[in-house]
Amino acid sequence: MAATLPLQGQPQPAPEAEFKESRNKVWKRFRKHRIAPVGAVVLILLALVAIFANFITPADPNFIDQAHWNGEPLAPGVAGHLLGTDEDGRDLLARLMFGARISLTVAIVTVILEVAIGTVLGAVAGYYGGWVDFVLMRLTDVVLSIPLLPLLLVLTAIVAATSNKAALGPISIVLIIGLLQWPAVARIERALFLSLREREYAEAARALGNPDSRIIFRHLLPNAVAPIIVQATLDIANVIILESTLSFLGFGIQPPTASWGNMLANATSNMTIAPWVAIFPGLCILITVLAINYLGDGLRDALDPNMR
Amino acid sequence: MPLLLLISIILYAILSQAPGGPLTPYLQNPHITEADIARLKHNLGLDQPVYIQYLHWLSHVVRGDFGYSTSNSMSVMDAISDRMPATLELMGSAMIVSLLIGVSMGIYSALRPYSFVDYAVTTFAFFGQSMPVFWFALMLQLIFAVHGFEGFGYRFALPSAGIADSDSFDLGDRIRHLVLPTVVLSLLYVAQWSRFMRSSMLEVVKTDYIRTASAKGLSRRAIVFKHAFKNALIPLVTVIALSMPILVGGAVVTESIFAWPGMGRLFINALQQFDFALLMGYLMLTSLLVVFFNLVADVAYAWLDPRVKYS
Repeated sequence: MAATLPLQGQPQPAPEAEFKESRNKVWKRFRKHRIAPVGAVVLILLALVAIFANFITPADPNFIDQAHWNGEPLAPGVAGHLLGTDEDGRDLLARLMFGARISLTVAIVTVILEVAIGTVLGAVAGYYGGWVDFVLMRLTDVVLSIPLLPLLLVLTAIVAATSNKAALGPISIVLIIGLLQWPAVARIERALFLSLREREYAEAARALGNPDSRIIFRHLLPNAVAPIIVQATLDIANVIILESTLSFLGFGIQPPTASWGNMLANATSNMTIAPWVAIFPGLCILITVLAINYLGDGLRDALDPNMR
Repeated sequence: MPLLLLISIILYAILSQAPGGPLTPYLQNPHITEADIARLKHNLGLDQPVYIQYLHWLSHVVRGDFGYSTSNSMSVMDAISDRMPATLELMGSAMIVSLLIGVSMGIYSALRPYSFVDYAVTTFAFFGQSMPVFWFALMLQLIFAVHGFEGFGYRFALPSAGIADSDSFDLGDRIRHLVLPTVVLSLLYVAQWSRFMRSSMLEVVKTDYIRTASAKGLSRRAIVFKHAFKNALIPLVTVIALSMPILVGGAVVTESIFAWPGMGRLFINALQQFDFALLMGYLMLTSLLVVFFNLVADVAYAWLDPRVKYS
């Protein structure tokens, strides 16, 4: 650590030049990671498929191909269905594309929510310390102590029951997962703010009479972003797994809306005769999560070489 | 302790939000009339405010009584102790397998960093951490249970559901049923622990006392196993302690897919019938274990590594 700090009295490059240089360095380190750029490309392709699903889809994801379907899933390649159909005669590739849209959107929005909550709570706890810190950290302890998956299942079941619907919308899923996932971000942010608030520039900002909110968000937060970017990237992978697990168990995204998780739930009963219905959605989850994890690993190397 | 109290309050508050609360199972029964419900409500004290109900529940819990499980028609404690052995069997075998494989993979790749094996182990770890557990389980069922392997004149297949075929105890049968769920559960642990062990071992190998040991002319084997290994294990102990709660809590997903009669399935069944007392008991028990093993991890770390001091 100490060795990387600039020595006192050494001429410092102008802030703008330093920023440019550091950005080049980050990009260089990112490219040095062999697989992370591949992960990034895979994710961009997936995102494009999800965004333009309407235009490139081979069929309506809920259209039942009654002309060919005889009660059993159609095999890949039969009657123009590239990946076959599911047990209801709906095109599998089309459902995968629209499933990508749901799974990725839910994951990204959830992580935005989680990062917002975690950043604010962590920053406030770290900056103010004292009883504010104490209360907020006990809150994170509580959330972290209850096993996540059972708690998620209970919450989705209760929300579904109280809203008197069998179906939970994607928004409820986002809110439920987002409200439980923030402690990791909050803890990272708190630790950073504990040291950042002691820096000279924080003191200078205080001396100039800036309000606390401005010091926290304008002066300190930009210096505490890198680890959060890494954490957020890895959390997108976690949320994709969580959402698909919930949907698989029947507590998440409800059919007929396709999500990678609920496509697998329906696939189990026909696995002996139609393994492709079970194979492809899971393969999509695996590839996506793998790409995100490699991307996160590359970002960690690039943004924060000391963290390895 | 205050943390657990806080957790219990929050969990009770969440669970009582369900329409009907603890009476949900009765509401779905067509033979029970409105009057019965009202009577039950009064008898169980459910017409009182939630915090009174909570205090009532708490006063029983401190005496070790978690109430009556409607989905199992027995007390919560009996239901849990019924299911505990199956979960311990599955989780115990998964933990042992993961430890053996994870630790040896981690050490092996740390001793040959950036070799082919090291890259293979790292890649495997990435796959393991990215694998959706339920899909992995389904694929194993598809490969080993549905089709089975044909080769060397044998048909090799493994059971995909349950803990045993017969009621009488048969060790071979029990082990065959254990294989697939154990593999599923081990994948994630092996992935995590091997990476952890690798970085911890790399850290230790760089230290001065290892250099001293090799300067003394000790053999590579002696250095690795007598000096480096023990110290590299210390951080892993923490990680293992933190995964202990799952040993008892069971794996909700894996147990449902393999129809394993353990705690995870107990929980899912309770959730489907909204068995208030059992859900509350399960969540409290698993939270208690998380809090407890967090403490154990801290204490063990300080005890194993004298450099760590807690004020």
